[in-house]
Amino acid sequence: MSKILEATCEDGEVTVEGDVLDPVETTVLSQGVALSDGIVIIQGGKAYYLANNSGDLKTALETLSDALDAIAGGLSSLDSAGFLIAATGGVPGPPVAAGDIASINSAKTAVDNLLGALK
Amino acid sequence: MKVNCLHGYFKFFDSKSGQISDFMSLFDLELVRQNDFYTFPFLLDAPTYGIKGGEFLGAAVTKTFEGEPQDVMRENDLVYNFLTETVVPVNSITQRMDVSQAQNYFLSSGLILPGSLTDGGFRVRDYAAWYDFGSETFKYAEINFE
Repeated sequence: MSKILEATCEDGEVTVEGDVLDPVETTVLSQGVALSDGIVIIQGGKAYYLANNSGDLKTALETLSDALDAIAGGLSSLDSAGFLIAATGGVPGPPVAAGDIASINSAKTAVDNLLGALK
Repeated sequence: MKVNCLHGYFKFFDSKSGQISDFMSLFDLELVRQNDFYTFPFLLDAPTYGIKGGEFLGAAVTKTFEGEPQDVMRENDLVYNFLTETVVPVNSITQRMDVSQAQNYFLSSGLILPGSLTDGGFRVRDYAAWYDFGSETFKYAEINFE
């Protein structure tokens, strides 16, 4: 038997029904630093806190997707700018990073797919 | 009729139909059914956990614990005082245990209040007894102290 209750956690301190649990008897199964909502499972004299951190993952994936988008966009601009390879000859350099940019875009697509399929 | 006191929590069991109602009439008290036993109304649906700093049936919880009500009471040194109909810290009980020894059991005319003190200064925490309707006595087969 065990008891499951709603709880919050901040700075490793778990609060249930307005009371702070003894940190010696409580295991926080996440980083537990920022304020989070979650549940506490009490079994006998031990308590385990589980944070609802699905929001953290969504935010991280969104940030990563945006970063990959910015990187791919920036590289495309640079690669197609046609830098002169001979200052006097005026010969533009050919695009050389198309493959890498495609890989970054593929990675962004994979991240976006993951973001849309979060459980 | 069997009476079990488990860390200050009470369970009554009838061995014949009608015993519970006879017992309630005899002692002018009320018992209520909980699962396969009867208990005092105050203990009905007692919580199966206590959070340190919170309350357990009105008594302060000093240790977070999950388990049967009697386990939570044991871990928090709480007992049910049926005289005041409250759950209280065991060390607040000052009553002395009043039993006499018979052949294979102890005898008393009343229920022992959990937390009662023996002459040696020990406290009653558990007991198993039965009420003998014929002799109108409680016969205690086992009494545990601490």
